[in-house]
Amino acid sequence: MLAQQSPCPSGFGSVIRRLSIQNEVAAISEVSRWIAESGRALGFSHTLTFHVDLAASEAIANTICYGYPDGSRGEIELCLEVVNGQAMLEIEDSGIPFNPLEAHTPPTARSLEEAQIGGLGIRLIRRSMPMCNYEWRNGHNVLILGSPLKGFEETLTLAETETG
Amino acid sequence: MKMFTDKIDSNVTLIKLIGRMDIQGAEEIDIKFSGTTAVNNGIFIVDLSGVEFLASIGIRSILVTAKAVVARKGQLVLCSPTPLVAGVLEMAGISAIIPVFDNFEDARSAITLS
Repeated sequence: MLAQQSPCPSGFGSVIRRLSIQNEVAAISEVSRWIAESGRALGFSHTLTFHVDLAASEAIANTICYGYPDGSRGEIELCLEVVNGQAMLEIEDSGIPFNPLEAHTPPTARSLEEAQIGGLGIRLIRRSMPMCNYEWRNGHNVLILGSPLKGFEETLTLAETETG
Repeated sequence: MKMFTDKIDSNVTLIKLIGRMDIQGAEEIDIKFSGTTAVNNGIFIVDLSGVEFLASIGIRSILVTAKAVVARKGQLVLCSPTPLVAGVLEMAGISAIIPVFDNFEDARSAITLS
């Protein structure tokens, strides 16, 4: 178990939860368990934990499936903390450069017949977390996702930026 | 994940899905889900009340199955999602293309009427 808890270096008395995983499909379930456990420790509501789990699962599934096209092994680092009343999740990977926030997603289908299978994960990341940022930092992809601890349901609709 | 089926009429089957519909859960039910629905003119009510988490891989499973059912001149509807799962169906745009009902009774009467 690579999960660990360390005191926040900024000294606000908060905790930073960290997890390192390998780029293997089996690690996605490990991330979900870690988020459930971390959410309890950080005082997340059930709704917030659900959406952090959803966004993280989708982001990591993308990285694992497409981020290492040569089949190489890589580490994905996750860091979860509360900063100024916001839950902040940072996901850093060593895969090929990929910004999920700029990636194309198919338009929302109008009928079952025309619905495309795929592209849903990226849409769910963008829509489940009110704050999404991407950085290319020291040769790594860094996805930063944030959501307020309280009033999450209200901000969710504001985060809706796609018109499909 | 677990999946239970209950034949409630000659061509109407209730499918109850239980558990986390994530990458692991979807894999556990995929074959059974598509196998159960592989009949002509079948009508399926998929009860989601026991689904505690739904990721895109689970939506993919529902979408692939619903497309196959419609191609066989059948019908597939969803019912009783928890508010969080209903939110995911909404975010993914699924509730616009597959009927979603608040409860089993509403799903049952909508099918009878159609």
